Amino acid sequence: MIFNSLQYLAFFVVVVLLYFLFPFRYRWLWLLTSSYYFYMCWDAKYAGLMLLSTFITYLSGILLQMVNERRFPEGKGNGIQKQNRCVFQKKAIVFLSFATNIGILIFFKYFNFFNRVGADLFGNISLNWGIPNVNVLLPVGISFYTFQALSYTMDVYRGKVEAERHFGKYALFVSFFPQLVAGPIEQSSNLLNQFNRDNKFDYDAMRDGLLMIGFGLFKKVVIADRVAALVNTVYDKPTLYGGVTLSVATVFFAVQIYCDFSGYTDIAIGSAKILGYDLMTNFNLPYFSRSIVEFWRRWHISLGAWFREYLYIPLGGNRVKLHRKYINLMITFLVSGLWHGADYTFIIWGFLHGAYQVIGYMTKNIRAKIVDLLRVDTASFGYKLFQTAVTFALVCFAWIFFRANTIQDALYIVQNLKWNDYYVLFDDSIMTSLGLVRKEFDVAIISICILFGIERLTTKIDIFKALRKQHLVFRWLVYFVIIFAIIIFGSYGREYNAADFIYFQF
Amino acid sequence: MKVNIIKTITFLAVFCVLFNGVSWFFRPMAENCSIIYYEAPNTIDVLITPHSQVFCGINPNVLWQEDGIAAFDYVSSGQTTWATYNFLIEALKTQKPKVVVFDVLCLFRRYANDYRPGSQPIHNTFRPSFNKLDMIQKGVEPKGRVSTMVDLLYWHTRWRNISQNSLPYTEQDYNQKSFHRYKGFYVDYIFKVSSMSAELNDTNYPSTETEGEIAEKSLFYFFKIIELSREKGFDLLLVKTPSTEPFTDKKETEVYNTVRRIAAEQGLTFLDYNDKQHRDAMGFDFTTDMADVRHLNTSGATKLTRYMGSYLKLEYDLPDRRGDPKYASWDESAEGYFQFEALERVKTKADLCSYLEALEGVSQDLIFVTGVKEGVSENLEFIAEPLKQIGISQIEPGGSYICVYDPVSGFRYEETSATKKLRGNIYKEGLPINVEVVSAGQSTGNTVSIKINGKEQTKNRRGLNVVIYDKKLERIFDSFYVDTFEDEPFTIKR
Repeated sequence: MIFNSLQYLAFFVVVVLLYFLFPFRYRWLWLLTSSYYFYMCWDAKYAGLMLLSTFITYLSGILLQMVNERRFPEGKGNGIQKQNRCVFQKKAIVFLSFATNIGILIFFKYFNFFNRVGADLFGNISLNWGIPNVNVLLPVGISFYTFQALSYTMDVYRGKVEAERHFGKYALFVSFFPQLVAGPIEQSSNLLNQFNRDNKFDYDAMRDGLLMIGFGLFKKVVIADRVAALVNTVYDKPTLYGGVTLSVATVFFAVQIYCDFSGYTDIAIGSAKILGYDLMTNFNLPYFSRSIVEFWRRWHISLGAWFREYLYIPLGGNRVKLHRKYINLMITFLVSGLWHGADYTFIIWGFLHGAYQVIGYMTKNIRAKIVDLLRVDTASFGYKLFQTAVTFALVCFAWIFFRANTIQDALYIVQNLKWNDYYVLFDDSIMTSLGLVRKEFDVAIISICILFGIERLTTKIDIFKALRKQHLVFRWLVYFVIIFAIIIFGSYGREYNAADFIYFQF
Repeated sequence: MKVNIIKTITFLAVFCVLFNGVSWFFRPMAENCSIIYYEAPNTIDVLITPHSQVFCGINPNVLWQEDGIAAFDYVSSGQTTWATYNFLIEALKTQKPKVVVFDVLCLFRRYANDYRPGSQPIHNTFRPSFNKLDMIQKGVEPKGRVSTMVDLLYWHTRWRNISQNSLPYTEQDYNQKSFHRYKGFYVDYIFKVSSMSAELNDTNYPSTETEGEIAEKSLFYFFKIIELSREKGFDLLLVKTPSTEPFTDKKETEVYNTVRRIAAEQGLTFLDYNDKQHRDAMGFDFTTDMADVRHLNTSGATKLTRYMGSYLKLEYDLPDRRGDPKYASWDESAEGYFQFEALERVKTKADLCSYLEALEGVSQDLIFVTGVKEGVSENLEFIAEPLKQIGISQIEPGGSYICVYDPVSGFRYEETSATKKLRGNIYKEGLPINVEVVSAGQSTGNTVSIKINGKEQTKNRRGLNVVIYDKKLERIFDSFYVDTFEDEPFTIKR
């Protein structure tokens, strides 16, 4: 059941109506049932896997809490020895929780890839690897709910939150349907406690939530799924195209993945808001970033926070020698790349983002000297624009590896980025022969301009508040424009295959 | 709280009104399956169905002209047996046909997708009803059913090609704009000729007694249609229009053996017009009467319809409705159709002289727009008199020339020059179209352009470029050019 379907609309209406009709003490049960139904619409058998992951992390939380509260036998010895034993016990629990969860994730998501890597390595030295692939489908959202569940183990370990004793509410935290399959990856300190809150129906929250959903749908079905046609046409057969076309397709992919993923997040946040829950912000105008470091503070914020909290900092973070920090950065981004997909292309994508940052740190002083030497006003609009453009170009370059079907395709595209087909800038072949008709191309461009215009505006004003202050006629006009734009210009129905959100595959 | 409830209800109400209004713009020009709604109730005596073979092959206008039979082609392309059942239910809501003519080709066809209603997405041409729901349930895969029920969700992609001419019909403009305005008869194939082997004229079906299997779903609804005929009291006449494929595909012949047996068992008549005996009786000729292997052109359709009309008249005691004011729309349709046919026949002429000759007196509703590129030769003077029919009185050879002529109102704008480029923007009151003409002779720019309502209609070729607009049908009737310098002067090219 994808968000951009009538099935989800019907499901959500029923969930909301019954949610507010149920007494508070049964609401968790209703939401849990709905969330599992939502998940089982994809593949019912994998719900057991999610339940297993939930049970392991729930148990780890309870055990960690028991150790924290010294309810385990402390054994003999002095205070320091007892303390050490305690730390050992906690680490063992965390290790077991991580090992089983990551083990499940590796088996379902990475087994065949690692098998391929092994075969490639053995093949290079003319040896037979001989381990067969396993025939399993990737469970939807496994990377998201596994990370969310593991963050809970770590938070209890660190004492940031107390263990949740109510298994049902904890299971709801792991499976909460709005953010189940593609995030935001919530931290237990933010979401778990909200399930103990008796939410009353709030008209304003419903209106703002619906607006968020509308905005998310606009991004997904009007922009992302439309430009996907152009991106797919070029990326499915990149050798047919020259540098300009490949560059344009890559920029369109940057737009597509942003609209697809942030559109999903908007629908998730809007859906949760109507039910009275606040999910964290996941995107904050990433393409307006002036550096790669800033980009990662604005792109998929919840994943960035997860890696920072549970990988980068445990590795030592910034508080280590410089070369170690660079290694930590590279490890974090290589793992991030692998998290996104089991393929070499994703690893290279992660490597590039790590390398951008390492090179950025290494050249920081030189760049500052050049800026001084050229007497560049770093506060000027031109300089900021230059930084934004360079950052965007670097991000797009990395997207090539993210989107390409194979590593060979990606390398072909990189090698052919020279603009030898500049003539396509002077005819309309990009607009008409790459899977879109001219009018669709125009609608895509206009929609993208509107989207970024509005998003830029949100940095200056609270758009919900500003809209609320307007006269009812104007407000309704805005709502109707959004609704009819989605209905009329949306890429859905008999001429399109309803496209899954890109991040579902991760 | 109360205010919020009222606001929500009002919002939803306004949304519904807007949704309905916007939906209207997106509904396409309908197949004739929806135009039956515009027929006066209880007027159709013979309903002809289900697929394109009959809307190309059985002409209700010929039935009307020859026998005064009020018939209607209630058809959509590639329509299935199960969709036909719903079509009949829909028709029977307003009509009480005495005879339903049913082409049995749909019983032979096998569809890869059991949900397919036909070649076209026809569900949305039905008005909302339980019958429509039933058809959608039968004819649409489960995941697409909801969006099929809601017109705007189904047709929303039409924003890419929506235009003034693609707006849906209203009852008022049905007779004027409808693609199937001539009682459902399809006019695109009328002068198309695919010459089949002359040997077929002397051949009959491959001889076989074997019965072919009819697909389960088709058979089920075939029996439902038979049941419906008894329940509603109409006669079901099974036919098979002439086509060449059964001659080469034995399986098709075998299916018709099955149909023949079922017809005998059920007391129905099955007229296989592919049978040599019938073809000989109607004078059918495979070399001239087919538009393609399965569809007849106007020549074939006229022969078949006349032949079938005699049978209908004889067997079913159908009244002659001519002269009955209730049936005036059949008069209008027949008159319009035969005029249309005559006009289309003009387009089959190869040279300008015979074209102009054929055009004489055919229609009073044409506007002629002429522009010249590069110039015309002096020998055009040989047909100076016939050219006056399209408004041309004097052209400067080798120069620029433009002319707009409406014979009925007498409006004529004509200009010719050997020394300058001519441009005419004609927006005259009473002229139903906006015309922009540009003409330049060899020495003044060497170009021609004729725009009707802003849309270019010429190919910018040397010589006389003519665009003919049909006021009655609101369409470009023809656009051609004649290069008078070529070896074969006055050959019409498009």
